[in-house]
Amino acid sequence: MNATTIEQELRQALTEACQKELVPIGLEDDLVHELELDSMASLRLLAVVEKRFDIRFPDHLLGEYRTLQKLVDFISTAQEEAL
Amino acid sequence: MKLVRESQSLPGLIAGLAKRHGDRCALGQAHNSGQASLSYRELWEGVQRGAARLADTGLAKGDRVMLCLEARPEWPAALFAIMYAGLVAVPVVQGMPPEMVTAIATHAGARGLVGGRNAHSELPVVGSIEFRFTADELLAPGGQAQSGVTSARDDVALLAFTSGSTQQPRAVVLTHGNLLADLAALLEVRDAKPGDAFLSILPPAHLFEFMVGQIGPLACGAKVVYPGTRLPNRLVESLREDRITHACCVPALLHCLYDELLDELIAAGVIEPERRGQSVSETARRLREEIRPGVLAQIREGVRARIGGSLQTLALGGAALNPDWPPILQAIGIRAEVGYGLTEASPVVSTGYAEECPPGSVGQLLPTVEVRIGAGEELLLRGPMVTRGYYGDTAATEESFADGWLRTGDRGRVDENGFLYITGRIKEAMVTTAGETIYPEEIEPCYASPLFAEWCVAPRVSADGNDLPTLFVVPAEGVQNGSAVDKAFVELRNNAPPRLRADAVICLEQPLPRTLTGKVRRRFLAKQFNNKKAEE
Repeated sequence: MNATTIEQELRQALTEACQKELVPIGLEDDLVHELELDSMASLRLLAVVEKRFDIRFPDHLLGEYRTLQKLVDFISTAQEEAL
Repeated sequence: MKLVRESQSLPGLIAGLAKRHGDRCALGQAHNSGQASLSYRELWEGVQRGAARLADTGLAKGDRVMLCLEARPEWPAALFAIMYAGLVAVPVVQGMPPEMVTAIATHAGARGLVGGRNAHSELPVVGSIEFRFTADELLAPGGQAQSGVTSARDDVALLAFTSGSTQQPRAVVLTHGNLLADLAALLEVRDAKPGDAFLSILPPAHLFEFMVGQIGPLACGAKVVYPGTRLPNRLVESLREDRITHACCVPALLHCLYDELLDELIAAGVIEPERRGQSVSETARRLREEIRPGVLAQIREGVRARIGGSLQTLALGGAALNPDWPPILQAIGIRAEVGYGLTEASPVVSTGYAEECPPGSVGQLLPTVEVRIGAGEELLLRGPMVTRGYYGDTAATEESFADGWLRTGDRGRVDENGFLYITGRIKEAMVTTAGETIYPEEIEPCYASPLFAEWCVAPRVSADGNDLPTLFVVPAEGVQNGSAVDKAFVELRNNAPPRLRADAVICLEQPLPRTLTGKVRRRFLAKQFNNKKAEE
């Protein structure tokens, strides 16, 4: 899966999960701030991404995955490593 | 049980349990974390080594030692080591703002600190702290295992700092006797057995988790499993892979289990996929009224296969206030346990299975708890689990006791069968323009609607300084803010008795703010809203 496909699928998953349109959100925008997420909602979003892409975020770094770019990068690397 | 009744201290209890259960697993990390586990024997050996290392520092009996450690098997080991050295443990919830940790260290006059990897570098620099250990240093193999300091039941075991947003931290003094008394009372009505596994989700320093999720299971020879993650999807993974039988529930886990149930209901064609966002109360209603028992049984089996099939009970804290959850859990074969407690009572006061309790009750009083109803219907408590007071705060201690009875700050009543009901938090009382005192809990049941995912009542401040009971609503998915919510509100308001009519409705885009155990933070919500209004 290339970065563009991952980004599209990620936007779709997050839109469904938080019932908010992600179109105006840029790759480097802070999701927690833009989507006004509290700490539990942020964790639930990461949980959705884990399930959708069959990946695992390192627990001690959960707070770092706050932009679409960071998520896309992590998913790409995880998928390459899985091959 | 006999062991708990006869033990003079918590470390004494652990020594007895190690003799009885030996190499049986006591504490473990979730299957997927790859961390080591501790048997009852290893736990006790670690406690002895840790106590010896603490004794070598020259700390004296009664000195305070902070425990700032993440949830893992070493947490209880370090806690009991501090106690076995005759010291007073000051457990602190991980992730607390540094200034709060510093305030606690200062108030407790902590002389030592046991922490995680950052114990030497990042944790607070407070003048009184002379010794620091990481948990690994404290419990490492080797060193002298010597007998610890003998504690009596009256000796202080720990200072429990009450959570919440209070400016000044308050430290509840709990003795070994207080904690053992609550444990013994709890075990008279609840039992676990070796082979049971408790998932410990709340922070270990949370006294409810300490009693119900850690020391309670250990006293029965069961295993405590730490999930090692904050991601809710992995909690379900742990239920399955670690064959979890019991847990103290947090809202995140409830929502995950609910999602699994929805998946199954959709797969069975009982709920249309586009109605996934319907409110929990609507799902509860459909389960109760529309789904045939045969289909329900099939759905229960399906969900249980997803979550591993071992889970028997979930202890609900504040989330029990929402009556929709017990039927949801029942649908997936899990018994919901409700209860009431407070730090000052070590902490469990009452407990009961939801399906055995009358509506609105928080279970039956534990044996040895005495209750009296004081002025303003305030619930007063007495019993061997009740604290002697607050550390270094005589004024707060005097204020909290009336003739030897602990003032809980909650309004309550007990029925003729010993069931306890909490009818409001005295601090949350609202005085209306008509001069009447009303509690949010009285008003909220009038406003149940399938259009509302969550709702609560909190006061807005009127121009004359009185409280305007206001309904705060989180609309169900697919329900737009605005006319639909307003219309439902007007209808519900007209059907409510006149004194229980909310003044206005406000839609929220965020879930209701809650404490760790799921209690709605009404005052916090009201304060946020009133501040926002003042700024505008």
